Amino acid sequence: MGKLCLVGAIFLPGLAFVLAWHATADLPQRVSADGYSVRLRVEGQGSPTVVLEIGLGGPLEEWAVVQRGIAGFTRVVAYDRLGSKHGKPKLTGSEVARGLHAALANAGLEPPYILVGQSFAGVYNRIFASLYPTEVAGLVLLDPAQEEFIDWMAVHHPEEGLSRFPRDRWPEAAGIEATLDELKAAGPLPNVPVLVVTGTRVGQGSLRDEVLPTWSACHANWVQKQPQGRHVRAEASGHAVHIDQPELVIELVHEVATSAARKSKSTARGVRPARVPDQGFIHTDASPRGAPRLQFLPAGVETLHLRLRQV
Amino acid sequence: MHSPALALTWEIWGANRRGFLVLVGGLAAAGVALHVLARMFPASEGLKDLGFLPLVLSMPLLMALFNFTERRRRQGFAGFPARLFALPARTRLLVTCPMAWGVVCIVAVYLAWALLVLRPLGVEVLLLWPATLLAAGMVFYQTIVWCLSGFRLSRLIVLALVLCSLVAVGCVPSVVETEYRRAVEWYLTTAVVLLALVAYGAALIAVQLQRRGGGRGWQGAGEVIEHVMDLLPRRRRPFTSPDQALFWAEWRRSGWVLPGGVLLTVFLIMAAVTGFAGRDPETTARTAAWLVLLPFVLAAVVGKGFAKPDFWSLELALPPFWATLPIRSAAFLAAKLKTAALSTAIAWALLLVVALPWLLLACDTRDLRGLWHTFTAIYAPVAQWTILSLLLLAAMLLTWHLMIVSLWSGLYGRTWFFVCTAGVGSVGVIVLLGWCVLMVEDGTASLVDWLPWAPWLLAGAFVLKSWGALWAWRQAYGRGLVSGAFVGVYLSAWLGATGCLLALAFCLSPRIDWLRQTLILVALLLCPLARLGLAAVNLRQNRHR
Repeated sequence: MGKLCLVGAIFLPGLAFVLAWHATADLPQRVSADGYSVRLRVEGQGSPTVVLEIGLGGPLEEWAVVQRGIAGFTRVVAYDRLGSKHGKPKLTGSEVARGLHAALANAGLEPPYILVGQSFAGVYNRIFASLYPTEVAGLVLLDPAQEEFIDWMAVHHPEEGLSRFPRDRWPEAAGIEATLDELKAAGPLPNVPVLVVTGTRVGQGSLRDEVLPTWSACHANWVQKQPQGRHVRAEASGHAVHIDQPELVIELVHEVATSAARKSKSTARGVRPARVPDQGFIHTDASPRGAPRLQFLPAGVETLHLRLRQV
Repeated sequence: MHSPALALTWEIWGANRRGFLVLVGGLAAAGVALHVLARMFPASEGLKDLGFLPLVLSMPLLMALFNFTERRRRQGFAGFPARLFALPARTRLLVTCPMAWGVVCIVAVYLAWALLVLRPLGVEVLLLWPATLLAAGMVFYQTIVWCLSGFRLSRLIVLALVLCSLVAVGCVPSVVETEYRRAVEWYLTTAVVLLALVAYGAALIAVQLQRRGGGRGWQGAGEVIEHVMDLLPRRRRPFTSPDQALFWAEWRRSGWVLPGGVLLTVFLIMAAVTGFAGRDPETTARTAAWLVLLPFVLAAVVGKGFAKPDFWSLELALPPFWATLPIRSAAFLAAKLKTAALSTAIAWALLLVVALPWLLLACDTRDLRGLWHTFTAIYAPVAQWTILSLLLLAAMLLTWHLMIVSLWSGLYGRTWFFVCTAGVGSVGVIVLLGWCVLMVEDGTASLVDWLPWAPWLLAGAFVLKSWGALWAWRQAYGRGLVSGAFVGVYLSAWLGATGCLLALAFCLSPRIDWLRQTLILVALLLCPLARLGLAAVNLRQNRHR
């Protein structure tokens, strides 16, 4: 009994401290971002760097599956602003974009970037692309907030929409109106691939079901104005496309990354970059966990499927 | 003393002066703490909600202080103090004095808290309606306690029903249209005051009957119940072992309390939701959350009684009959552990059998289905069912933990020790709750700042737990309080349960390493180990007092 106690007295604390050390070592790093700090996790190697940005208030851990999938073919960074002490009551889109730019520079992550944003992060991504057009190689916007739709909601459902977010003690939510004003005043997006994914699964609440046609139409209208825009309807996804269909997100990012890599090689050789098919529609009708059937995808998808299975 | 009223007042004070001091001191400390926190977090909404907590906690304490009963050893129940019947004082005075002081104190506490703490915090609270309701609640409470003194179980059920009804009635003015609110409040106030007067009259009659030697006046009903109980099947077979007999006795005394409480509260919730709140998606989601929390909350309360040698006794010393039985202390402990496990299993089974079909069939589950869809999107089918099964097991383990977590202090046999540990534990829980509310309110900034510390704090707690467990079990084993077989069986059970929790940690977070490691540390802390060893050691002290 005595020897057993001695072994336990040494082994159990050791086990606990090893676990604690592993846990703290794996926590996302904190990087300074233009006056405040962001949480940031980097995985994978290569270029371009994919930047994953979550919607209002979400943690970067939501990207775990997508990030691990993308890390198989390029460098990917997921970040959030949780734990940031801004010292000011509201945070606008341009401040978020400048903060992200500074954080990426401080973390030694060089452009070009492919921006992947979900929900309101789509607005932040667009402002970032307008502010730093030469550093952005593509955008993949997952069920993004969209100004035309927000205006429509203000008329038809004034009590719902973005107005329901509590503004006090939440700088991003307090800066929503200012961010939308900045978005409207921002310049055009760079001529890069822009993929907009709309989660069109019904049964996500009566309001969402009701406004879904308008939501999807607003996305489609906006995409048509982009030179390299493409609209993707993810029929097995709700608003959280990155959780409902991570495989789809990985494939789309791979598509944009391949296009960006091809473009950079062509530019290096002095050849005019190949144009991504304009305004094509991709319909997916697979179950959330099944492999989605994609149409009009560039070559290399089969290879990606193999890689995904390995992931 | 110059008057009987003064003497009775002095008696109430003298018998409960420590409780009154704890109440006043605790409320004053909580009030000061809230004022200080309000200066530090001026815009905190959570702090305003937290401001109600000390008030809510003080109400059961006030009820206990004005319980004004004494145990009648011969009859085996606590009723109106029979020794007062011999005093040259009118029954009206004997009843009115404790009742009046109870009403005055509960109203004074409410008004003081509302005016001195809640309003400075920026919380707009009503004064007249809640004060009336609390005063009526005190009158109903004392009436039920005195009138139904011979029926322990019936008294508990009636008390629960009346107090729940009062809470429901209290919410009525807030759910009616604003234009009718004042009128409804007025009608309800009048009705509650009239009912309180009726209750006062009933208390007078009941105590008068008891004073005349008629006793409770319930003998007829008692005999009927006795007959019914005799007709029910009883155990006739002899016990095969002392352990079996102990388990049977423990189960008969306290095993049914948690399942019964869960069942009764589930029915009350179902009635309240059906009658008042409606069954829209949001209400359904909230109701589901409360139903899931219910066994934990009840187990935390019931566990305090279960920790005592006898659930129904205020006495913590082990009765001589039990203390002198020729069995190891571990046998008592094992009976308690088995009873708590069976209670927990039945409570959760009842919850699943009664509440789940009702939620699925009678309520609008759209919000819940949305949650379920997200869950199914995150996890593969096999993982989904594994996680659900392990979550149920973890919930049962936590409920069991709450039932037995106070055994080490309850079985020690010292009231001051039991009260102090329970008080420190409650204050700790309140502080932790308040801290979490403030951290979450702070825009998650401070909460995320604590993330790097959390694994080290958990690891430190586990080290303390493991060293404490080694010391306590070594003491218990060395003194012959527990057998090697008992240690082996409990250690195996601990390893099995902790293994399930570790599997849950792995299933919940297969990809986020830091979260998985943190959950593993939490899993290592969830199953009790050190305090059970201490319980065996402390029980020995109690047996040899």
